[in-house]
Amino acid sequence: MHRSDLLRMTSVKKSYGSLVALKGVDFNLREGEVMALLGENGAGKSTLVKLIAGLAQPDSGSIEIGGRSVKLRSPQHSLEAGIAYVSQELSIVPSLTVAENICLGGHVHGPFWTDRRLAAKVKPYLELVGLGDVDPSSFAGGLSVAKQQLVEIARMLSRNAKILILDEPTAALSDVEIEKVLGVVKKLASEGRSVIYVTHRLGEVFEIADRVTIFRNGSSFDPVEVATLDIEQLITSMLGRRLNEMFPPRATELGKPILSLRNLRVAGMESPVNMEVKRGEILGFAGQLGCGANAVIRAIAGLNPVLDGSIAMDGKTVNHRDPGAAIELGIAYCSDDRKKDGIFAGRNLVENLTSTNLNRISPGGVISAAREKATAEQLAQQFNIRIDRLQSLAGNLSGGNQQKVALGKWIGISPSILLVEEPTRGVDVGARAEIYRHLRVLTEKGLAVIMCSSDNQEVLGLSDTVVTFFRGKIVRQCEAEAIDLPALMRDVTHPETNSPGVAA
Amino acid sequence: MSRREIFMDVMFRTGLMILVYVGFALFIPSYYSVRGVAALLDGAVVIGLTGLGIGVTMLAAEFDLSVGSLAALIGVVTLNFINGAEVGMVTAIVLGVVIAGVFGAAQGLVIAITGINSLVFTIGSLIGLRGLALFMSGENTVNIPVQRLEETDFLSASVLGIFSIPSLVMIGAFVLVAAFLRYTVWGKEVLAIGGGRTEARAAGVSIKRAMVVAFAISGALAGLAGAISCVKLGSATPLGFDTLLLSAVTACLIGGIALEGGRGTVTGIFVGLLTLRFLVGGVSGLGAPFWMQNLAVGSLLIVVIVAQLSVRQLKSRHDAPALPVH
Repeated sequence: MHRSDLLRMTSVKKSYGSLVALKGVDFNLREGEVMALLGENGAGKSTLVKLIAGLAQPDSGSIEIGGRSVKLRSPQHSLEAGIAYVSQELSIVPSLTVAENICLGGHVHGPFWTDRRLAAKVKPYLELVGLGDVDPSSFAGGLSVAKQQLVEIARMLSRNAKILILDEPTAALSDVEIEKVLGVVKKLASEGRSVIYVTHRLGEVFEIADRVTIFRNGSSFDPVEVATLDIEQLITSMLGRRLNEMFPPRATELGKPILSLRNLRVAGMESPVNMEVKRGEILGFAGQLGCGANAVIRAIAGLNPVLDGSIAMDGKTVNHRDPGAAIELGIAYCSDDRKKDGIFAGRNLVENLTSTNLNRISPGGVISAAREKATAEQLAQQFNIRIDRLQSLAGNLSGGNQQKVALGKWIGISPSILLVEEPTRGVDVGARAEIYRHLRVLTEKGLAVIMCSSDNQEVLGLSDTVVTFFRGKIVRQCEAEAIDLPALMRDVTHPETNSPGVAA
Repeated sequence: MSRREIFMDVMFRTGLMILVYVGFALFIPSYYSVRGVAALLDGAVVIGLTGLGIGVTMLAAEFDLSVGSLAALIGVVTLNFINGAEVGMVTAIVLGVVIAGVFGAAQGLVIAITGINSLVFTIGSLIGLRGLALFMSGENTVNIPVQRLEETDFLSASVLGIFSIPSLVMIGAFVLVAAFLRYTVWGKEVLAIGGGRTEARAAGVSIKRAMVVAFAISGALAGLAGAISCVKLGSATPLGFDTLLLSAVTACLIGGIALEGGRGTVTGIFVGLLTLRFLVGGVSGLGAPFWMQNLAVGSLLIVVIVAQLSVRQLKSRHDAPALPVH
């Protein structure tokens, strides 16, 4: 059967500040096919679909739909061009009802929306995604993350679009829900619609996709027919190198335990947490959105209240209640929201690097310019930040350099524990290896690092010990050597099929 | 929030309103007379209309500070129409409202396109419009000529004994805006950009349209307040309505409109308005000095805000373990 190209993108480039997200990418989508997009975090998949969805505009290059060149300036434009999009970040307005959310931005016949009319319109779509029992007039904010994701898919279905984009739609879903979503995707393709499906799960690719486009470091490869593909080949082309070249060697010897959690209960975790981290160790938490790993890290950082149980350092129960107390104890925390919590974007690097340590640079309460400069330079050197850039604003740096500043500022207080969420989010591949190396150097000096990441390879490659999380439960705690990538991915996506070690 | 919680919230605020009313009615006999209620309602019109408009922008997570100056300007403009063009009273008011609405729409459009924080932008228009009002009036109070004053009498006539025409207009405006937000696409879009700006945009909502709509409503209602009140009075001073902004915002806050947007109801604004009115009317009805009014309103606002904060914190602590944490 001959199928023509419905969507064609030619030499599309896109940068965010100094981070190059797409370096001249070609992409095409045929009528009635399911095209999977694969690649590591930061490879450019999400950027590409955002351009198609009108959420961002390319710096250069062309987009054609049905042979006609188009400019997609906003999500509205894309909708009008027949494109519907389910984002990775939710686009559900919590203060509106489920039905209103589905109809938002779309076409409902007539200007007046009553609950009954909307309910009648959205009911079939809700049933398609398995939400037949959800009241369309209830507020969307009351639903679980998984159900909100399904509401978004229902919205996409209601749009009656020619091109459907799903950006990691199954990340927060259970197996049953995933089956529903995959079923819906197959049905859409059989109706002759085209689907772009971004995923991390190779299994899904083989189940539903016709072709695959692989992204690596801002570039795309020619699409490959799934029928001619095998998993080994897929992984090699995704990574373009062997895993171990990216990550520094693991610790050869660990020190004494420094932090232990005993029956710790925090909001976001369903079962109590017991674990221990040693000096010189990198403890990696793997899990997806809403898995609870962040909740544990934030409890240690003093951000989330400890409901029960204890946090002990060097054998002494501390149970601090706020970040200030955590910092006093030598616990530094680096958030996954770098722009918001990690750096002062409108301030220069000197001020950023010394912000954690104002006491040391201000004898008698007045900041000493000389000490400020000396401290900043020392930290910059340690983190390989160019001294001549110390006067530039943190917000103008690349993601990798921002992350080095966000981490580096904490080294000034000589912490004994460093908590890092998503250490390389929005950081290009080159700078990633450097950040991994810095973290390893710190642990070699006796620091303990606890990090969480939704990038499974990162957790596996960097950590000495791995803890896998799934929906508020710890699935497994083991040495990194004792687990491989497929097992880790199973743990964080659907551990039900993993018999041993599953918390009941 | 579930529907039940929203209902309970409005009920609590209504309870507070009744408490304030009954409290004063015990001491002020005129409070529960038909004429007393009529006077209270009539006195709430200007703040009510303006508060309703500002409330709509607050629901859209924006803030229109220009309402007081706009009311003063439109008061002057409306009287200029009456004096200069010799049009009828109603025509002049309608013209004033249309101009205010168009100004509001333009203001919303500029804010949406430039992305300037509306709080900042409308500080500009708050000051600028006051200047324009002074210019349009030649820095003097504008008066309706004595021989035409009787044409304005209809605004003081009462319907069914309780309602003046202005208070009926206000109630009509509340009903219309409530229905607009509840049943129309444009209204839902205003609520959507307030409840989740990026989410709404990703869903395909036109932020521009929603902003234009919200600020047009706010402008038109402030203009209506200014026009009605000046025509009824027979005179418009360019420096008038200087405390209107704060009173209007107070009514919204007592009524449970959240500053961060998306949360609150039109019924709530109405309840907040009446609470404020009952309190101010009561304090002055008791013959207390003027400063007591300010003290009472300020205290009530702080009590309400602290109470709603405590309820929310209690609730979130209670709900915490069930919430997904990211």
